[in-house]
Amino acid sequence: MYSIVVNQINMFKGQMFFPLIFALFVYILVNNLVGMIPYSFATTSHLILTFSISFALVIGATILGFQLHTFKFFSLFVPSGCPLALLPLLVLIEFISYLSRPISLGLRLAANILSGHMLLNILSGFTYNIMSKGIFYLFIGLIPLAFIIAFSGLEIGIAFIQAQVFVVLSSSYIKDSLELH
Amino acid sequence: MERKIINLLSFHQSPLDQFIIREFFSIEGDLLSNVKISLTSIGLYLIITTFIIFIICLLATNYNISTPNN
Repeated sequence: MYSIVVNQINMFKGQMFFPLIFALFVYILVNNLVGMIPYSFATTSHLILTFSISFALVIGATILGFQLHTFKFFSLFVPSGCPLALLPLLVLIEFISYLSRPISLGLRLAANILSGHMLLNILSGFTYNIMSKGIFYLFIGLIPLAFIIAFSGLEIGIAFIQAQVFVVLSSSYIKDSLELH
Repeated sequence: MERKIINLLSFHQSPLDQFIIREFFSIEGDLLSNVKISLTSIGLYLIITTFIIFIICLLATNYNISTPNN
């Protein structure tokens, strides 16, 4: 299943990155799923973990690009077929977007997991306050309880989707430095 | 009495409380140039995760026949 993603994003040369990508996927997925266990701790909701992974990935991809094509690597910042007058502005924009890659990659994963866990916590505190009022409110509280169960099913889906998104984006960044556009 | 039990149970004051990194125990080495090594909750869960991944890999590759196979 995962060699399909790697095959789609990288060429035949990209097969050597399959262990890295697969290990990354399994690591993020297991971290997300361990965080989904009640009374446990969501490790991927911390920016320190996701930023360390994403910065290491993007810096490694940059080093790889410099190693493969030394100074031609800067042609990554020039979009193909742009007029010469717009070149300084476009290079600046591309450079900023290249710098924001690891930040967006780490922030996406952490923000998704953090927001999901906070939503579940707020809903469950609300439900607890309703259900502890009396025997009649106990049955009313079953309605938000059903919502909580549905949302935790959604959170498990988010755990898979975010791990896949992280892997797809990181392999596309590696592809960018392997072959320049 | 009942109120006290409820107060004891609802210790989640803020929804951000679950993300606090708590220290379980720590070693402060004054001799080794003031290093402080501590096992925190995030560290414990990262260790658990690594252990789970290791077990899954061990059972999935099945190199030394640890899972019965036909």
